[in-house]
Amino acid sequence: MKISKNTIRRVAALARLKLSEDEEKEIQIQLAKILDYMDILSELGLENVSPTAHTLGFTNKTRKDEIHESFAVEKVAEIAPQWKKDHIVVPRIV
Amino acid sequence: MGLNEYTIEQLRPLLKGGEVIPMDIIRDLGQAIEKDNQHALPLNTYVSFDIDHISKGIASFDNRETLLLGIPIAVKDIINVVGTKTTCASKILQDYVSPYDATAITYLRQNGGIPAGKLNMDEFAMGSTNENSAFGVVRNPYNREKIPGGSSGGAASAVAGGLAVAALGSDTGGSIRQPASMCAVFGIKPTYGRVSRYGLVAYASSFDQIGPVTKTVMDGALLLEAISGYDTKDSTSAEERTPRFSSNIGRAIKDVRIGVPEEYFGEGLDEEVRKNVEKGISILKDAGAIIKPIHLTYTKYAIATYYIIATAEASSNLARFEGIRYGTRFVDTEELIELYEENRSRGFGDEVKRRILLGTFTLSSGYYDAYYLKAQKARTLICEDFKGAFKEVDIIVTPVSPVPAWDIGKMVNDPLQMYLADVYTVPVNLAGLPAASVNCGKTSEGLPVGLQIIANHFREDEIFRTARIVEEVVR
Repeated sequence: MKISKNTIRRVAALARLKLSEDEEKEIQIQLAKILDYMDILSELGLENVSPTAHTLGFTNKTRKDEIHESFAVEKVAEIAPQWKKDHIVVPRIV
Repeated sequence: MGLNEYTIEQLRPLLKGGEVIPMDIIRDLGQAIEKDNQHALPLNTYVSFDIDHISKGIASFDNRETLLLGIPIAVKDIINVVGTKTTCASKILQDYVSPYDATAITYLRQNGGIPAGKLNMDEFAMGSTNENSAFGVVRNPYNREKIPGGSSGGAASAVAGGLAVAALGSDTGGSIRQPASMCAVFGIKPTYGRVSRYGLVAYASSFDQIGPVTKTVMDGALLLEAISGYDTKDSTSAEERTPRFSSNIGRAIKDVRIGVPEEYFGEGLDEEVRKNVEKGISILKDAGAIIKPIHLTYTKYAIATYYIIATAEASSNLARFEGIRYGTRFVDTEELIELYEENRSRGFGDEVKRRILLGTFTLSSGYYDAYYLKAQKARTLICEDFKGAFKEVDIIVTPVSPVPAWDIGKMVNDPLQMYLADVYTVPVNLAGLPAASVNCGKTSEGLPVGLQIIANHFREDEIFRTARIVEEVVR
């Protein structure tokens, strides 16, 4: 499968990854090779087969809408690389 | 022999009788790790082994009635242990300290296990060699020029090398069984849902399972008993009772029907691996099992199916690492998207980036039906393959890896080749089945070969008694 450099750039942008020129070239070759191999699935007649997401057929589990103890705000903020007064610091977004 | 060389089974009476205290084991482990670090080619199995922190865990421990009685258990560095770093062997999490215990760790503690040290691995569990770690390669104790397998390579190498009594690993596509096979230890991936995934950093959520890596089959059974059980914090956790797996060990396998799938013995299987696996099968036959040739016709589609689904799930799961809520922020930028891109690009290694890109591609508009949906349908066929087989047999046995441990660096530049080596392990994850690797011999070069034992959903008991038969003879 031929993958254009533009496709690689679009996918990298979607994945929020920045690739160098060399990385782009390498990924272009590797993805093409891997996707060619994935085409093996085209041999299968899958029209009437339903997809499987989970093997044991779990259904959604719900709980009562009650307040439970959770992490303290300071604890969560501490994990963030930058935080100030119990808030996580991010660049200006609006 | 230092206490680090002992098994759980051997340590239990000593701890119960008070002849040994947990701190004695920790001390011997610390010395063994220290000694190995002096080796010209250290095994490099731990990302961290903080004696002070582990001692604190022991200080509050005083219960001689539990299952594990204070035995230290090493933990793959993808499972959260409160107050310790969980790096996933990635730069992006190099400073992340867990604020909570994974449920498997909570249960482990309740059963008297002490989390002791965090083990090296392939970054975010992506890899079959342990070469993809931000903290250096792990080596195989049977030959230090060789890979230990992966992604739980630190776990297998530490247990085989006497640097851990036992360990917890995780298995998404073979990450417990393949390194266990290459390092001659026992490793079991439980049925999907048997062990809670809460606190296991997610790679591919519909496959991931935590499981034991141990010196013996009995230790595997004891450790699995200690970590299993329903958990309300994991919506895919199964409401199943945890059996006493250890009580199945020693039971005969007379008239147990064992299936040998022809598709697992074809092209690409190393001759020496084949011979050892056949020897393992003959041991089971001699013990009275009925060996039946079977077919798993969709096996050849498993790699493509697995890598499409796993990378798609990974691309979604790893979106959370962006240098904002947790992890490391390498650079600050004025613009938000740039902040994501800069930090993710600096934080992730090559294989992780490759899998994120592959998964993003197959989920992207225009390709979803051609890849992701198709793979989910192929997954149905592979599940049905096993369902059909388990109507005829109780157990399925196969090789774990088509080849024994290879030289470090040999396949680094050929990701597809590396993926293809997972051919015998990924079908099990696609079907959510339990499966283990037990050593069945060594090649002429002295490299271990594992026998894979697969059972039906929630029938780990069958695996333990079958594995024990092989272990008794091969030892």
